[in-house]
Amino acid sequence: MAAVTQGNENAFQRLLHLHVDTINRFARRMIANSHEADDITQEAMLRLWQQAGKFDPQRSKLTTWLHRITRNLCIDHLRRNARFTRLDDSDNPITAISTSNAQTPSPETELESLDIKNRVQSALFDLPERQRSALVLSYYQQLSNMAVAEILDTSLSATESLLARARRNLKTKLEETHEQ
Amino acid sequence: MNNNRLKRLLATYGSHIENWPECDQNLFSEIKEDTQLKAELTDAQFIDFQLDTLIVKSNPNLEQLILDNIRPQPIDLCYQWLFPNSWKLVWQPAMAAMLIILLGFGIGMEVKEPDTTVNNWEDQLYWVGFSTEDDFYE
Repeated sequence: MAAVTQGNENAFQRLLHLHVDTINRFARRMIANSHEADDITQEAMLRLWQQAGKFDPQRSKLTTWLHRITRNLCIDHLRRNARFTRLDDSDNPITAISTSNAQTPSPETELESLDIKNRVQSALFDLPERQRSALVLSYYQQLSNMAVAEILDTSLSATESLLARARRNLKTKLEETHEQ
Repeated sequence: MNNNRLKRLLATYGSHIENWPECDQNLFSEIKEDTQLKAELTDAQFIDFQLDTLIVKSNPNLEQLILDNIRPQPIDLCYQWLFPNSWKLVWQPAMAAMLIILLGFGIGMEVKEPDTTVNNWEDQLYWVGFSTEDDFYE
């Protein structure tokens, strides 16, 4: 990391190789549009290159720092594009179907075409941002509670509560879609 | 006491023991002894099963794209050479300016002055045509 701070491209390439896939998967789970998630990943990794000096190894791990940057970028993106995302929902097969479910009385035929993956993804995107972040960071990114708490800027007990609420809400949403 | 903690752990971390905090992992075996906890475990397994179906692949080209972005383009390199950040490299723009001046001198030395003398009678007649009457009789 010290070498990256001094502009060593080889050192950056090694760090990039280690982290880019993990960060990309995190962004893709946080943002529905994979192209935009890729842009966010690029931006996060470029910040690693340009602002490596800001990283303090005594305060956090590099993985935690990168996840924190990526999450902040995802939140910025979601806030900035909230209006447009809502308008673009019809282009997203997952959200398009869930929207039509709410409007039509018998969506069974449409639901039949959905696989489990789409239902889970839809339920996950319906969760409040903090709950989704906690669940994705803990379950998929396999980060420790300490790291999740640091990324979410909260306490350990609050992180546990967020995770429990996320799983409870997810279960409710999955059962609702399953019943439909 | 353990039952409450186990319920909490199942609700928070699910059925995969590797996701549990290390200090609590030894409690996992106690679940099988309690019917209520078994039901909680089944619930947690249901969610985990659904979550496990969501496989997200990363973009394999992203690494190269990022590396291309950080590598400066030739035009950027020229710009950096001409306008360095350090005063130690001030000889670079000075040398560039000197080269331009030398190039100007070189071109200037090569260019011959246009010949303004009139060498033949046709040119003389042509110039006479432009002259005023006073010039003609001088």
